[in-house]
This record gives sequence, structure tokens and C-alpha cells, in this order.
Amino acid sequence: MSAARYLTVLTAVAALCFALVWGWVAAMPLAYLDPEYPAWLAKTELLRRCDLGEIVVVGDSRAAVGILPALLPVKATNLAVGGGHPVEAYEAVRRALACPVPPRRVIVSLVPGHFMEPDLFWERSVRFGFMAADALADLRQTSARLGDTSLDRPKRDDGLTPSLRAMLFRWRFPSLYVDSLLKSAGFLRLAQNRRMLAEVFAARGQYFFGTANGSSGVAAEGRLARFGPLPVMDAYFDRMLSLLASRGIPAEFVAMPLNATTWARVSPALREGFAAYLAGYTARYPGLHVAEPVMPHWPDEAFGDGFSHLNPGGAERFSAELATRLRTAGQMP
Amino acid sequence: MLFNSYVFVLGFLPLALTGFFAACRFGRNVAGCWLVAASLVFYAWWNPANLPVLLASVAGNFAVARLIGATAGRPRLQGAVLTGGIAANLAALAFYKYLAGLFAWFGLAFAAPALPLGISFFTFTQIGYLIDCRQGLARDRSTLDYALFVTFFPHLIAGPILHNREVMPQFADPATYRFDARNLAVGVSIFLIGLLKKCLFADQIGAVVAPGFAQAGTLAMGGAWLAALSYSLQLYFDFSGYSDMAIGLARMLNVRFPLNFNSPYKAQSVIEYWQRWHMSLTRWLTLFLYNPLALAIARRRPALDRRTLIGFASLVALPTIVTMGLAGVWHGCGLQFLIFGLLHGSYLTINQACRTWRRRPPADTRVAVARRVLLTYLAVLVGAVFFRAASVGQALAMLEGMAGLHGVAFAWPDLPAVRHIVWMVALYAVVWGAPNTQQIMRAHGPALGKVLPGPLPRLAWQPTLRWAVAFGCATTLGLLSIGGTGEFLYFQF
Repeated sequence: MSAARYLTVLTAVAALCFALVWGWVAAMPLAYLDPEYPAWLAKTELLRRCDLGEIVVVGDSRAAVGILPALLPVKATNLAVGGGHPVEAYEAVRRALACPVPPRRVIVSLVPGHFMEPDLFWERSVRFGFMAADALADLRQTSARLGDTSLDRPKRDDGLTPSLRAMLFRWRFPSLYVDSLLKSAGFLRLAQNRRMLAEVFAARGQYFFGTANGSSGVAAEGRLARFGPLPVMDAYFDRMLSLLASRGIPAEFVAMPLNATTWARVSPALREGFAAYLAGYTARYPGLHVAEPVMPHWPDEAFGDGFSHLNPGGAERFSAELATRLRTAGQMP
Repeated sequence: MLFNSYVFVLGFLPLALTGFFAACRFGRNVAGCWLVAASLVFYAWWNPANLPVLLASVAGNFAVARLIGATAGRPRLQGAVLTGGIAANLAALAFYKYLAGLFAWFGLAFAAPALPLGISFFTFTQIGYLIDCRQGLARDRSTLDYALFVTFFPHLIAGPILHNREVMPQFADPATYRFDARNLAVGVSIFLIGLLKKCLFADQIGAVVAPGFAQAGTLAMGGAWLAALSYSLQLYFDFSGYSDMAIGLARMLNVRFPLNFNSPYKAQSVIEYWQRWHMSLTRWLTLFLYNPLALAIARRRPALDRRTLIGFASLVALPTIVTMGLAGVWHGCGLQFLIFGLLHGSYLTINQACRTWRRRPPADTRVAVARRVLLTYLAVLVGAVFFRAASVGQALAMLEGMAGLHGVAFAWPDLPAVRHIVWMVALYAVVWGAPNTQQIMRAHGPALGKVLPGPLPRLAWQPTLRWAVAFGCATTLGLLSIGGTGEFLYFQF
């Protein structure tokens, strides 16, 4: 075979194989993506169907784990997502309010760290397809206007611009999913992910991370010196509250508990800074109520992993208390 | 720009190749200028602020080389010019690479400039050129060829460290400036092997290394060994993968580079290891550091016999340990790098002593060979722990863990750990059982230097349908792997 012919065959085979893999990656994300994807997919689908109920919960993984819609006094949906920031919370609220029958109350729960670092933004929100193209474009414009480049940090080695990377994620360009493809051998996660999807649908968006009978792990709050929100996160938090206020929908900020070990290491500057930040917003938006304390803490036995995610017992207790609080405070929709 | 990035593979490389072969129609100078321009773009892509440093280094060294040529009849002046040139190169290297570390050592604040990519590589390349000019060995003095020799993008940021005699004649050869489909096919195939080594092997096995070393103080025996062994595999596949890519890229452009790796973990002694690992650095150190040192000592004390204790210490041990100590420091600013170098210096000295005073040749049985390979690998592994660690303390903590001083408790590994161990076993099978890249490509002169015959003749590459299909699939794997990869380990040097 001549060298030219060799190169032609090589190129043709490469193109064919790549196209086949791309087709699989685009068509079967449940077959290979990590087990958190079905949870995000379920929430995206609940939003698309506008099957929300009277209360929606937005926020991060602690809220996704700790608030069981089934225990709340009215039909509710938990739209909080792992690693969620104000950006995803706003996006969920925006889509929820676009429904023919929007929710009548929104529970917001975000840990201080998710105002300060967009650590999982690309790996979760964009990779899982939660952020639509127009939402991403809007986010980039906002970031540029504020001069906040945090979403582009750390600098990646792939040589892609953020907008190009976002586009490739949207097209499910297979190279961006290779870790998951390798770990799943391309298809081994399908059954597990389908089961997870059904469970998250049944639980109306709630799902668990660690389920141990206690954890003394130190969560991120134990390592933060002080509270300082990123401009872009602050802008989206403001935008979400403003949107809710414009529609006359009350918002309840409910902080999820930390384990006692983490609490012992929380710096006063972080606690006070976060409380002052939230107090500033309650002054601006009368429809926002911040449940006290802003950093509650429970014994380690209530937690299932080192990230202060509640275990099933802890989540039931928290949800029951939240339901009681909603009833007794007359905050029912 | 990284070789394993989309922008390089799908953008820069096709453009550079197409432009080069198009420019060849207009003559050698146009094609050479195109390559220099492309190389500068390649270099500046990551951080344009690095470019002036490279340009100043090339211009400065070229001027010194000219001056050395102009003072050929005045040896003392010529020597002074050479010394000044080398000193200026080392000063630049020290400024960018070591000054901040030294200031920190003394507790002083210093705003460290960003380390220009590959400064150690292009500095060493040019120092070698200056020395060759002084010795009358560098004959090609064309500005374009020199600029191309230093900036040629396949070797610019992580080697191999080229010698002017093996590359500059190729840049002067008109055949280099003609499209050659065979060279392109060979180069593409070598590049793909390197890409897979880097993205599929090194990056996947390296996932446990950073967390492992970060927890060195608490890792029990199993975890410590897992982290250290994973690192040794990561380092090998990362750097040899990079070298393969460099050799492949050069070959696409009709240039042959020297071998840089030759299955180093198959070495039966540390001496042999250094003849197989980062071969271009070993050659540079031998030519420009070890040999001059040993010669200077021999000239000063001509009566010394290396078979006596004093003779051995003066003629072998001293130059070896000094050379390897400096080689260690070349890799980075930190006591752990010095210890890495001194450790290898000690290994080499012991190895030389064994050769000098050994009474009978080593046994040639399979068991004896396996024992020597394993012993060499373990010695190298200890050095690798220092090489990877962030500090001497971390390296010692890791070695304590490997020795069981943090506990020897073995828990039944979970699924990811089992998967990792299986992957490690597969990679060791590749390291010790498979032919290396040069052996696979041996029928087509993959690199300068002698290529050893490899096992499994069926694994010798030919431009056949079978290989085209295999490399087509490899291309897919390579393109897929680009997304989940990090930078080359050797970029930091």
C-alpha cells in the first residue's frame, strides 16, 4: 500500500469511528455519564413538563439531599442541584416562573462557598446540559459586564475558548466526555442511571449522596476564612430575588445544617459575613425571609458524608422540621 | 500550545504542514521562514509574554556564536567569549528559574517572573551549540538554519535536546523541503502512538498521583506504593509520549530527531537506565559536563588509576556526582531535586564501582536479568518519589509509607481501586513486554541512533491496510482522549 493510500484509509477509519462514538455519546448520555446526571436530568424534565407543585426548592446539593418534597405539606419539587450556585438557582426559578401555573413559594438554600467559587459549573451545569445556550450567553455577557472572569478559571489546557467549549458541550462532543466513557466502558452505567432517574422522579427531585450513619468530615465551610461573593454570583442571586419580587412570589432562604465537626472550625468572619450579606437582601426584598440561624449545625450522626450532606435520617428530620415551620409560621402558600 | 490540544491537532498542525509544503514551492528560505514563524506562534500561544525571552535568547546566542567564529585565531579571547556566553545563558536560567526560590529560601520577598516555557531546553541546546562553535564542530552558521534549529516547534518546549550536527545539516538539505508522503505516514503514526501514551496511559494512571502525594504523611503501605508506582508509570508514559510526538512531528516535516527513550524500565542497571531515559539530556550532560570535568581532573593528575580507590573517587565518583547533582537542580528549584540528582549520582557511582572491581561477568539467566531489572526499577522509583514530591519532607513521608511506617493495613480495595490496579498491571505489561515506539517503527528509520530489534515481528509497522485501520482507530482514541488531559509533566522544566 502506498503511503498516500495508507493516510487516506487511516483518515477515513478515524472519521468513521469518531462519528460512531459521537453518535453514541449524543444519543445515550445515561449509558456513560456519572450517577449524578440522572438527578439533573430528572429536574430538567420536571421543569420542562412544568410538573412543579406549589413549592420549589432551588440551591445546591445539601438542599437536594436534605429537603424531601414528600414530607412538605403541599406538592413540592426539589430543583436544587449538586454544586449549584445562584446561577443555576436563577435559571431554575426563571424556567419555573415561565410555566402556566408557577410555584407559589420558592425555598432557596445555598452554602456560602457556592457564592464564592464556581468550581463545578462546567463539570455539572454545562456538561449535563442544564444551562441552555441563551442562558449561557447571558451569563457570559453578565460576567464580562462585571469584569468577573471566575467562570473561566482555572485556565484549561484544552486550548478551547469558553464559548467554543460551551458549544462543544451542547453538541456532546465526545472528547469532553472521555473520562465518563472510560469509567463506564461506554455503557455500564445505563441500568444504574435509569434506576436513579426513576427514583429521583419518584422523590420529586430529591436524592442522596452519602448515606453513612454519621460523618466527622470537615466540609468546605471549615476551610473558608471569610465570606466574599463573586460579582457574578451576587448579580444572579439579586436577579433571582428581583424576579420573584416582580411576580409577588415569596422566597424563603433556608440554610442547611453543618455537622458539628465543621461547625467547630467555621470562622466567625465567615458566619458573620454571610449573615450580613443575607440581611442586606432581606432589607431590599420584603418578600425574602431568611430562616435563622444562617449556619445551623447538627450532631455528626445526622450526616452521610464529608460534605455535610444529611443522611436519610437527617434529611427526614430536617424536612419534617421545615414542614412544621412552614405550617406554624403560616407560610403555607 | 500543547501537542495534545484541539487547537494544536485540529488547527495549528494541519495549517503548519500545509503552509510548509506550500512554501516549499517557493524555495528553501521561504519554507524555513514559514517554519520559524509557525514555531514562534506555537511558542507564544500559551503566554505571548514568553516570546521576547525566546527571541532575545536566540539573537544573543547567535551573536555570541558569530563572535566565537570571528575570534577563531585568538584562543584566549575566544575562550572568554564562550565563557561569557555560557554565563549569560546560565544567568538567564537562574533568573527565571531559581531566583525566586533562593529569595524564598532566605525569607525574602521577590516578585518572580513567569517561567518561560522550555527555557531549560532551549538554553541547554544553545550552550551546546556555543561549545561546538568553539571546538569548530558547528559549521553551519546561517541565521535561518540557526533560528530553525532552536525554535523548531517539535522540540522547542520539552526537547529532545538537539545537537546541531544532527539537525542543522537536515535543515540545509534540499530534500527536507519536498513533500514526502512516506515521511508523513511514518510521522503521523509515531505521533499517534505518543498521543495515546500521553492521553490514554499517563493521564489516566496519573489520577491518583496528586491526591496520593498530597496525603503522603498518612498513607499506609498499600496506598503509598500505589501512588509511587502510578507516578513512575505516569512519568514514563507522559515524557516518552511527548518525545514520540516530537519525533513524529519532526518526521512529518522530513526531519529526523534523535532517540530520547528506549524502554528505560527494561534497564538492568542504573547506568543502562540513563542510557535509555531522556537520552538527549544524558548525552548533553556527558558531552558538556561529565567529560570536561573528568578530563580536567585527569589532566591535572595524570598518574591516577581509576582502579584504585583514590583514582576512582577522583575520576569517576566526583564528576558523576557533580554532574547528576546539577542535572537534578536543572529539573527544578528545590532540595528534593538536588537529592534526586545526588541519589542517582550515588547509584551510578556504585554501579561503576561494581563494574570496575567485579571479578566475573553478571549471570545471564532469566531470573538474574529479572532481578537486575527489578532492582534498577526500585532504585529509580525511590528517586522518582523525590522528583515528584513538593518537598523533601513529603518525599520522606511517602518513603516511610512505602516502608510500612504508617501502617500496613490492607483493606479490600473498592471497585475504582481494583480498576486502577488492573490498569497498572496492563501498563507494566506494556512497559516490560511490548516493543517500544522505535521498535514498532524500526523498518522506517524512526529516529537517529541505533534502534534495537524488538520482539513480535508482527508488531513491526508497515503502511498496510491492517495498520491503517489500527491507527485510524488509534486516532479516534487520541482525539477522544484530548478532552480529559492535563499538561505534560516536563513542561515545568
